[in-house]
This record gives sequence, C-alpha cells and structure tokens, in this order.
Amino acid sequence: MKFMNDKKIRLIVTTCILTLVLIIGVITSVNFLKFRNYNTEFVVREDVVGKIYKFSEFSKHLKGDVADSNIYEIQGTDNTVAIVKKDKLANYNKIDNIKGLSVCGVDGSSQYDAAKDVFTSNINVLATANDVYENVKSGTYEVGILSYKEAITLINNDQNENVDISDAIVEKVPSLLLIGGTHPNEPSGQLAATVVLENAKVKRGILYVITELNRSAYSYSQPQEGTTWYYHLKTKNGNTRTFKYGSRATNTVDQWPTPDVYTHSSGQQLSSSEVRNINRAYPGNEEGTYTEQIAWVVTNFVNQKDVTMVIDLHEASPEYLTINQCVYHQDAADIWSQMKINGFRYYNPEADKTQKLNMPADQSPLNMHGLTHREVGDYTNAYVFLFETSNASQGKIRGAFTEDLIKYSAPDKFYEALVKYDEEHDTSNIYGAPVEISERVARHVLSFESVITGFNKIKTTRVVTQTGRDNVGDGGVYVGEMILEEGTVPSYYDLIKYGVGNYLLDID
Amino acid sequence: MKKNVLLFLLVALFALTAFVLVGCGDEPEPQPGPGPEVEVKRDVKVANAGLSVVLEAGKSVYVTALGQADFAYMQTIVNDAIEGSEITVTVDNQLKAADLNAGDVVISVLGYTSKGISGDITQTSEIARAKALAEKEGIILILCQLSGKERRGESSDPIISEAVKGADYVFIYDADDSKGADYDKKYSTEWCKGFDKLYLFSDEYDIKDYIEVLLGAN
Ligand SMILES: [Zn+2]
Repeated sequence: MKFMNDKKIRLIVTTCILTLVLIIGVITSVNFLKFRNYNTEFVVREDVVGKIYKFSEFSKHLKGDVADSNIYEIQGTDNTVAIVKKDKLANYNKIDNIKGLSVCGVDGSSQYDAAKDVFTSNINVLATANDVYENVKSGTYEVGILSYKEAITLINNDQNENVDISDAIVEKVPSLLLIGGTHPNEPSGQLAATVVLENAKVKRGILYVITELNRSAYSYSQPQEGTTWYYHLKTKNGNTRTFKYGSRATNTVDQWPTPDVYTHSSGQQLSSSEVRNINRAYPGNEEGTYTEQIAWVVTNFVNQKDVTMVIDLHEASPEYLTINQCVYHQDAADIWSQMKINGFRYYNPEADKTQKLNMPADQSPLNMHGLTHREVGDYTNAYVFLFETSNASQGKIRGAFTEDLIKYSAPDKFYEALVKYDEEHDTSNIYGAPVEISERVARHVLSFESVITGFNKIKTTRVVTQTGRDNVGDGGVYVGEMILEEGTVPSYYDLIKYGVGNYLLDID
Repeated sequence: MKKNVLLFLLVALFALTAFVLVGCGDEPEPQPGPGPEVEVKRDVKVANAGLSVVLEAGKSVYVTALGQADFAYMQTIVNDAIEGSEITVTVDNQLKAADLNAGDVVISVLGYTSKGISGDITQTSEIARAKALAEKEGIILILCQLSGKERRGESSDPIISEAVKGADYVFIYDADDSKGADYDKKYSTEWCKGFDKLYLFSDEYDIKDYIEVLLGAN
C-alpha cells in the first residue's frame, strides 16, 4: 500500500527542514539585533561629571550612529574657571577674548592668584564666591573667577541659570584621557574605566573617561568563538550590573567590504582583519573607514582639548608575550621611569606594609603603525601609555566559553594544566597566568594612578621629540600636579579583596 | 638495481653505526661540584655592601643596553645616581667594545624587549655585543637587570649568559614573589656561581645607591 509516493515524502521533509531553518534564522536574528541594540548602562554622577561629549562632536559622520559614544568629563574642584553670562558664552570662549574684560574674583583664593597671571586688566577683589556670581549675573563685571566647585554649585542653585562656565582656559591644568572598551572582548579595560568613572573625584586637573571606544565592536560577538554575550557583576547592594562581551573589531555591518590587505595610512600593510581593528587605525581619519572615523575621535579630541596624558586599557591572552605590562611612547619615557620609582605601590593591610606591583614595560616600536602608543603619541602632544592584563577568554587553550571564563571566577582546567606544566618544566607557554577579573581591573586602576604619580614628578607637558606632524619641539609647559581626591579611587588591594562589583554603582 | 640496493644498505649501516656511536658517547652529565659557596646578597644596605669607587679620573662612563629592554629607566637610575656630581655619561644603546679604553665604566641594562627589537639589531648581534663587552680587557662592566622573570627566557638568557662572564658587578631585581629575575636561581647558582659581586634587590631603584658609590658620585 503506497498512499504517499516518494515525491510527496520528499516535499514534506523539505518543507519541515526549511521551516526549522526559518525559525532558527528568525530567533538568532532577533537575538543578534537585541544584542546590537543593547545599551550598557554607566552611572554618571551628576555632581561630579560636568560634561558629556559625543564622539560625533569630534568626528562628524558618526552622528547618531552606533559608534557615537561618550566622553565623560570630570573637572577638578579646585580648577580655576571663568564664569560669564550665558548669552556671551560663544564670544567669551577663549582666554584671548576675555583678557581685557572687567574681571572679579575672591580675595586670597588660589584661583584669584592663578588668574592674576593671565588677565591684563586688574581683577576686582570681592569677599565671597556668591558676590562674584551676583556681580557677573547683574552685569557689573563681565567675567568672574571662581573655583570649578564654587561655580558649578552656584550655577546649579540658580533657578534663572543665566550664568555659565566659559570654555576659556584661565589656568592650564594637566588632563588625562582614560580609554576603556577599545577591544570589547577585553573586559578589564572597560571595567577599570567604569570604576574610575563611577568613583573618581578630581581636585586639580581634568579627567576624561571613555568606557566604550568602539561601540560598533560592542554590537556583535566575536565570530566563531562561541562566546557568551553578556556577563554580570553584583554591586555592593546586591544589584546586578550587565556588561557586553563584544568583538575585537568593528562590525562588518558598519564597515564592508574588507580588503585582502589592509594598508595603513603610513603605508604599512597588515592582514585584512586589522582594517576593522581600532588599535591599528590611529591616527584615524574623519573621512576614512568607519574604524578610522572612530580612531579620529581620540586624536582630534586630544588635540582640541590639549590633553596631557592618554591611557589605553587592554587585555590579551595568557600565552601572549606582551602581557601584564605597559607600552609607552618614547616621549613618555621619563614619566615611565618616575612611575617605576614612585608608582605601582599599594598598601597591604594584612602585611601592614606598602607593596609594589611588578610592572615591566616596552617602548613603543617606531615602525609599528596604527596603535595608540605610536600614533596618538606622534599626532598629539599627549604622553601615551597602553596597559595589558591577562584574559583567559581571549586565549586559544581555553575550554568551554562561559561567564566564569570571562571573569575567571572559576578555573579553566586547560589553563590550570598549562600553568602547572610550565612550573614543572620551566617553560613559558603562558606569560601571565589567567587571573580573576578583579585583579585585572585592580592592575589597570593602579596603573592609571601610577601614570598620574609619574606625571606629578615632571609636572610639565610633553616636549615633542618625534611626531608625524611638523611641530617637533612643542610642549614643555609647567602645569603643576594632577590631583585625585584621596580615597575616591579604590586601591589595588581593596579591588581584589572586595571585588570589582563592589565599586560599581547601582543603576537607578 | 643491485647496485642501488647495496648502496642503500651501506648508507643505512653507516647511519646506524654513527647513531649508536653518538648514543654511546653520551657520558653521564657531570654533577655540579660543591664549588665555592657564595651567600646570595639580597637587599644589602649600600653601606654594608663593601663597595668602593671604581671610576678613575679621566675615564669615561657609558650607559648601554643588551637586549634593549628598560633602557630609558636605566638612564634615569644612572642620572639620579650622578646628580650633583661632575660626572657625565655617554648614552649609546649600541655601544661597541672597540670604542672603549681600559678603565672605562660600562653600565648596561639586561633583558630582551618583548616588543621585538627592530632595524639592524637582532638577538644574534646583541649576543655578539655582550660577548665583546665581556671579553674587553680592562673595562669595568656593571650589569643591571631591572625587570624580573618577564625579561628572562629564551630571548634574554643567551645574551645575559654571555655578558655575565665578564661582569665586575651584577645587580638584579628579584622580588620575593618568585617573579624576580632570579626566579629559577640561574643567576645565583649558575651564571654567577662563585661570583661574590651579585646583588639582588626587591626594589630595583635601590641599584641607584650602588652605582652612586661605584662612580664616586656621592
Ligand atoms: Zn586590545
């Protein structure tokens, strides 16, 4: 009895398979799209973070796009600022434009002293910060000199809000741009930048933080690695913070096609995949590839804001040679030496002594192009540093890809076996044993503090010795120390002891 | 055809004989003898280190690198050591033995850069420079390793092992966390065996005080 012939059976089977494929296709597509559009949340303390710049202000084609990320600005509370009437902000945005105006300041304040060196006219002395504010508001004086903290407090308390802080730089202070999220499959960089963003307070200087440098690379997962898409950390209050584990390179959805060979603007040739690697795209180009447009944000921002120091945070697989170390631009060598002498120290209450973290470094090779420590150093006046920590989830020897692997909150048996093998055979298959995420973040945060410690021994902006531009010999201006408010940035010891989650704020 | 088979058999026999001979020639490794026991000197205060000035009047001081790691940091340490003195130093990461005269003091940092050294500098050329400096008659060779385990291994070791043969002083960073430059005791029990001028430092910046004394800059 044959009521269905072979043809019919084949048709039914084929239809079933196609339907299944369609269902899988739809589900995965929805998941992929959800992941692409998922926005990682970062807590912005309103009383601390004064300004948020969009990437598109520094690279115009990114406007409204997936890569249009944020740069958070934290001003030092003691920084000297000029307040002016709001309708004058556009005219009074440069120090040269306000030098000859009528000025008032608070008698005996350090800001008054700093401003004295700048203004050609006499500064009229008033008794209190409030007096300065009211006199500018009423128009008696065109410019008021205050500390950033005084200015922002008075502006925020004023309902009418017709006074604001001018962009004019009254006193040149050191500034630092901390970059996390260059490579979204290297979580410690983003987390360290987030810990700094959500905890640091600055007394003197300006701190800029990027938590997601390549948001396009955060919009998809590392292909063919079977990676976990999200990982979670518990805050002090037991709430969950969610972070994405993205890819190393810009999403092909945003940058396509990929050439067989990537030729960097220097002429250097690299393999095709590097064309979407932001740390091979510097100095970047506003009219270039999508990745170059993002890289240009950093170069352009650093130049426009005359940033003193740049730190780019990374991770690499445990078997990668350049790990648990720093790479610095040659003009930052003096600061590096001062970091080795005075930095990388943390107090260990258990041993009741100050200990020093072992941190080797290499100078950035002159002929290796496209990296922050080479190009941002060559195309700006900043001292540039890059740090690497050891991340098992990037490694090739790993077992199953789980959230535990990302955080290394549970040991990976293959890596543990290799660590043991190295110990027993005196080999170096692994250069930095995989460690828990809190240690990696702690290492980055201590490195960030150490750059400041090193800079504070020099206190001058950079003397440019080699650059891709024509301003060799620029720099070398005394700007004094950059000072973080003590105890605001968690210590190396505390971050490990209490865990990185303890230093992440709750999302409201 | 027969000829070929015969030839093959002959070659095979020869190879086998050679193999067996080489195999038999392997004598048991000579056990390291007791040798002069030298106590490892760790974190010795410079005043107790028994150092005296090695720099004579009219002689030059050079700072160089063998392996190209930590060169800038080495310069800072030497600069800090001579601060306030009349001493001047010549900095040259490719210092050649041929350019030196008897009595000159050469301070070299050890360790191979992990970023790879570029241009015409190679591991081979660094080994050759290390050998030449070590064999140079009459100079005072002070070797410093400022980084730990990460600047040891197959890239660094062949250069270090050559350089230490002619060293007058060897100062190395070696923290107590087993990540130091002497993590495998190669410095203390092999390269510098019986050599009483090997000093270990938990903080490599303390090497500055030693250099200060050796150069008479204090
Ligand atoms: Zn990276």
